[in-house]
Amino acid sequence: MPDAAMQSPALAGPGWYLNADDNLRIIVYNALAGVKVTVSGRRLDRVGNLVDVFAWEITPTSDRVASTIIRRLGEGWLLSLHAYASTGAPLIGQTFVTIGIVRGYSGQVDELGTLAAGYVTSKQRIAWPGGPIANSVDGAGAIRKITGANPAAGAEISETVPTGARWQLLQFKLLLTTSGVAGNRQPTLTIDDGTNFYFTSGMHTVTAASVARTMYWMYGMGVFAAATANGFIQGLGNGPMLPAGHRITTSTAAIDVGDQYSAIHYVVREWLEGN
Amino acid sequence: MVRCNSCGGVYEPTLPDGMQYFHACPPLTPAELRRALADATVRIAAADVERLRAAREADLAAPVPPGELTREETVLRSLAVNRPDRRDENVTGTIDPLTKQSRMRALGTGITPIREA
Repeated sequence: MPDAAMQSPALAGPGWYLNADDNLRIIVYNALAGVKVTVSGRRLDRVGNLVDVFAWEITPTSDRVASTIIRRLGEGWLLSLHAYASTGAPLIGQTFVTIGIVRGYSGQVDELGTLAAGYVTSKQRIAWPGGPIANSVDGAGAIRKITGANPAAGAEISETVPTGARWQLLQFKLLLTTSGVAGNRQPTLTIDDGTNFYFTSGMHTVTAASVARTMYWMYGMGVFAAATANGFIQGLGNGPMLPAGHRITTSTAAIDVGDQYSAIHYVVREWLEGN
Repeated sequence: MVRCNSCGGVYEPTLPDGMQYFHACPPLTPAELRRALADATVRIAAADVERLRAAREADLAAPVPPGELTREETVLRSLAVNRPDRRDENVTGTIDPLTKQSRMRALGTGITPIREA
């Protein structure tokens, strides 16, 4: 450890000594298009006589896959840093940043420590020192309203939790327009892990031929909720949790090849899992 | 809006909140699965083949009342079988070092842009 640096008055506060091989690694998991994250801070050089500032801008992908950069700081003392969304307007739950120290620059690097981790927005930052190292699945998550895919006529709805996301299903709405072929259709909202069903909530009332019926599944309601002038309402319990790859589907008794699902809208609470 | 050439689903690739929509084709419907099994374009586990055979035999021996699901239909509904040309736009979780892009899990037969009526 350099003697000069040890004697610097700036080191009365917290600092992280970096040798020439130690670098800063920034990992961003992001779900929103158009976001840029800026990481900036201050450092003291090796001999402790220069407070230098640094700032890097990262443009992460918007598919929740880790975007990683490693930046050299040079030998000296890291004094402080913070990160925030400098472009775009992500919500809490959409852009997660982890900042740490690694030894090495490319290829295999050794992880030495984590300085800060958490969700950032344009106003809310993560910082070191003093900031927490948060878990990406803690907190309120991002509330999202999603418009689902209209399946082909006669086909069921299928919505998949994207890679890198964790959802809590809060509401689900659909419109079923039945063909003129006789028969009572009865949709069940199901959740599966890609293979096996583990949650079902069947609509309590059947839909006859030649009808357009809106149906809702609602958080907090028990099974068999209500039928109103605007549609049928069914419960989702306490909002099932779904990891990536799990699916929200319909399974419709007596579905006809001419039946059509459309106007599919649902609300989820989303967290980033980090891959 | 685009239409998935594999399943016929119609969706908006970018949602109004600026987030990407990752389409993944639904499993085969019971009718599609029945055809696919007859055409031998998909395969299911031997135990499920046996369940289907037993259900068909039971339907022939004792038909269910009109308006109720047949036993065969019930078995078909319990199977989540992906279509052979399935499209899955979800990413694999790694970034291709050459293209710097995430890899899509399955391209299927592609998509076709459509105009809204």
